[in-house]
Amino acid sequence: MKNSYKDMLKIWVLCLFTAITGSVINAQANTTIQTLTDPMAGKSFILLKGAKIHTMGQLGTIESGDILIANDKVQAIGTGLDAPEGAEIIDVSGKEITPGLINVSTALGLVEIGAVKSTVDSRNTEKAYSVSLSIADVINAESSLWSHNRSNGLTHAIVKPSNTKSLFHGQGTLIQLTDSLDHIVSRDSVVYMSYGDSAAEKSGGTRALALMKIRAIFADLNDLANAEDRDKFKPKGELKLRELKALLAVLTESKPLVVSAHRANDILAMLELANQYSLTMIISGAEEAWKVREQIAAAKVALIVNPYSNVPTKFETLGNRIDQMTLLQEAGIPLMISNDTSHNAYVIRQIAGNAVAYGLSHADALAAITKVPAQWFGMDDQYGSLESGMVANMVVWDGDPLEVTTSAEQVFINGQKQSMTSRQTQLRDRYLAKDGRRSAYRH
Amino acid sequence: MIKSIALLATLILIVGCGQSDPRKPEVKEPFKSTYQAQAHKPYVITNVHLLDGAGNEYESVSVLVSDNKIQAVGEMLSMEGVETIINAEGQWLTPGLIDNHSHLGVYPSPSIDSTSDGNEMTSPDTANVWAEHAVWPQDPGFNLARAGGVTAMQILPGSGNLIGGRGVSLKNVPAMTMMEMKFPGAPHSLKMACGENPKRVYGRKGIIPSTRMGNMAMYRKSWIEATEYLEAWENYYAGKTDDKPGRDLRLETLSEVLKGNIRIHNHCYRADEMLQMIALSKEFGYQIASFHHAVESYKIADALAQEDICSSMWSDWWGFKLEAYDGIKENIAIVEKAGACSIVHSDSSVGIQHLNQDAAKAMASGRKAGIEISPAVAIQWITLNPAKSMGIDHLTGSIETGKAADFVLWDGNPFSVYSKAQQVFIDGNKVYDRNDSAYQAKSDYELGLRNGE
Repeated sequence: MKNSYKDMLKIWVLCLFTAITGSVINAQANTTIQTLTDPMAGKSFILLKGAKIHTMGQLGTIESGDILIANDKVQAIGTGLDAPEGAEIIDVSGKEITPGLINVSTALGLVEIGAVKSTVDSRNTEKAYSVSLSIADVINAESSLWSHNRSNGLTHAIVKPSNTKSLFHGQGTLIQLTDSLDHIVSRDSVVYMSYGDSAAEKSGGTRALALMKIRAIFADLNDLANAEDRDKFKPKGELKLRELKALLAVLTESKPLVVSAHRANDILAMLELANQYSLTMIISGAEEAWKVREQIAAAKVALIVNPYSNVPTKFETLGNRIDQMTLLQEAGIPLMISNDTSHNAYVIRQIAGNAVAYGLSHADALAAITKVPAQWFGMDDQYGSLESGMVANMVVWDGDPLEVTTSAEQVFINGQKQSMTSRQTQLRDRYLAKDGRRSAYRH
Repeated sequence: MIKSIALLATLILIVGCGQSDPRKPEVKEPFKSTYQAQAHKPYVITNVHLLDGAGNEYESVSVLVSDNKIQAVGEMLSMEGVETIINAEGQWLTPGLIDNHSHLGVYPSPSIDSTSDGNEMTSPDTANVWAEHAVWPQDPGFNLARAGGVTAMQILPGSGNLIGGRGVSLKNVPAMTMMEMKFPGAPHSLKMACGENPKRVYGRKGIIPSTRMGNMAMYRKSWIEATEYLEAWENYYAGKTDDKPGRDLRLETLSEVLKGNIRIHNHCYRADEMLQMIALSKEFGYQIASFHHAVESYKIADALAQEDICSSMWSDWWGFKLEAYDGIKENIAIVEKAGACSIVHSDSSVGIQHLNQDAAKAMASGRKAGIEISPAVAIQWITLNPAKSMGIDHLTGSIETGKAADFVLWDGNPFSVYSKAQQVFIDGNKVYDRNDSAYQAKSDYELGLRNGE
């Protein structure tokens, strides 16, 4: 009886909407700002109504707006959107919506428990396989970190390996945190390299040798690109041909090269490399970037930073400061935030909030965990902002998305509502429940 | 004859008394605090939004400070003889934040081998070592923590050992020596550690403990020795024996725990291990002040409330090792709801700068799970409750008449990511001001290196 009553109510609601709106979007265009002209027939619709929308796109922030999702795309975005026939309507008034968060430096799916080696696939100790190492096919989307991060607002991440002996760590892969095993968005789409203390340690104990090796490798790379028969090319530098070939797209196809560097003059050395070979370079760490911000801006190099981690723990990070993003943004440098951790990769939004506390604009801080990563990892035609035609990756928050007291209420990836359950929420619910049975035996 | 017997008896008594005098336990206080609160003029902070740490929130109130102490809190205070009035309209006032789990000074910046002084991993029981002997006051982390509103902290040895050594409570004042920071009147603590760390450290060396069985066997061995040591001294002081026991720094620390003078701070992640550590404490007759990194306290919150043991927790850390795998964001709220003492601790030179944000996250996670926690309660996680665990809650940790004037003025709600400590006071004296470089201490180590603009 109960069910049939519900069904009747649902049908009545649908009929009501069809009667009022017809099956097309209301074309009162002064309120509807963007719509997609794709045919509407045969699509499933979700209409989110009445949220503050941080579009990160041309529409900026809409104080109270609607988003219509059609299948996996944003069909329309604006104010006063009407529901097409059959649309699921979700009242999100009082909520805020952002694009899904993107953390560009994680080991999601490569690590379950840090100290349990058998659950860690991110750490490579073989020097011979460095640039060519692809982790794409070993990423485990059924890791408990996956649902935990997703239910806290992370929809995408770059997953990367690390090499304990080589200057090169391997290839990074862009993933989406969906439940199904279709998580790879773009495989082997970025290469990782180290400079600074860690590179010196791997190079006879001195940065001088690390820099010599890096320069020789890029000279090889340049020669390889121009070689008549690449298979017969004989490298003079440290990387073998197999590894050098895996690096080639960095030179010939503008594949992003992420380099970790920290001290001001280490950053300058990497800028020189970027300029010499016209590389798409992103420098991570970059604690002293503020000292050379004009040069970084001129070199059109982007940064991955974590100003929240502001302690001068190393001599190469003495210039570490919590307000550095404000200085870098003023210089016009594209900025991304990563905490370089996986279990709580979503905490980038707290870092963004702290950057705002120290002078960065709210929009620039949010861009550093949504739009800028999408731009620099070559996916901003689909991800990183909410505009008609973009993939519907978004988070409905119960308040300001950068505020520490805010929580994710609903996450959408590819237009699909994602489960908000994780191993953590299951543990929580088990111990919150009081049904008289011994806690560990509750089902 | 009778007379002479009486005389003899008197003589014996006199001689006996004369002998018992040197047998009184010496009250020793080596490495005594040299901290002295500076004098200051009386002042009143008015129109301030107060979270007092004692469980109350006032939207607009005044606080009178003189002689290093909170003298009054109220809406209408007598300002007789008070020349300075700080109008703090729009600002929030909280007690100074307290972190009961810090390694500042013993694992300072720069983090290099020559400064790594927090873990004496040469024997599983090093109750003889004291963290305070390794505290480097030049650690820039103290200054960063002060800018985050931290006025006191407990510096603990690491968790590599079963019994790691004595911890020390410090006031977060710029200082030349550890003793200038040492919190007067604060008892020592003793760091103990359960679980994975000790068995890993000593298992690798091929000595006991390499298992959790070994962990427990070794704790018990130490407590048996401590019990015997204490008995030997008590027998000696009671005149039951003339053999004066030899002094042993390790057993001295442990016996002071058994006498209730040193407080146990026990690194312990798993619920089942915490309950075993409680059973151990009952076997030997000591009280545990707080479990630390207690990621599974939510599973046994009722038992912790019953035993009056605090849990020192992170807001969201989990999964870096198996014993941290069941960490959940609602841990702190669930422990609070059960009526047990809840503490947000950092164990981090970064986290200690943002204890207010960690408390805010834990409060919000609780709320989302249906556990309403007021800001007036959540502030206690980083003020009064850590003070309680350190045995200094009669001195600091709340803004109440008679307590030390240790407090923070914030530019907004301290549970917002956008709010920052504007001014920090210890014993009524300003030690930090965000807008005045005269109150932004730099250590020698920082001079000429960090190139502030």
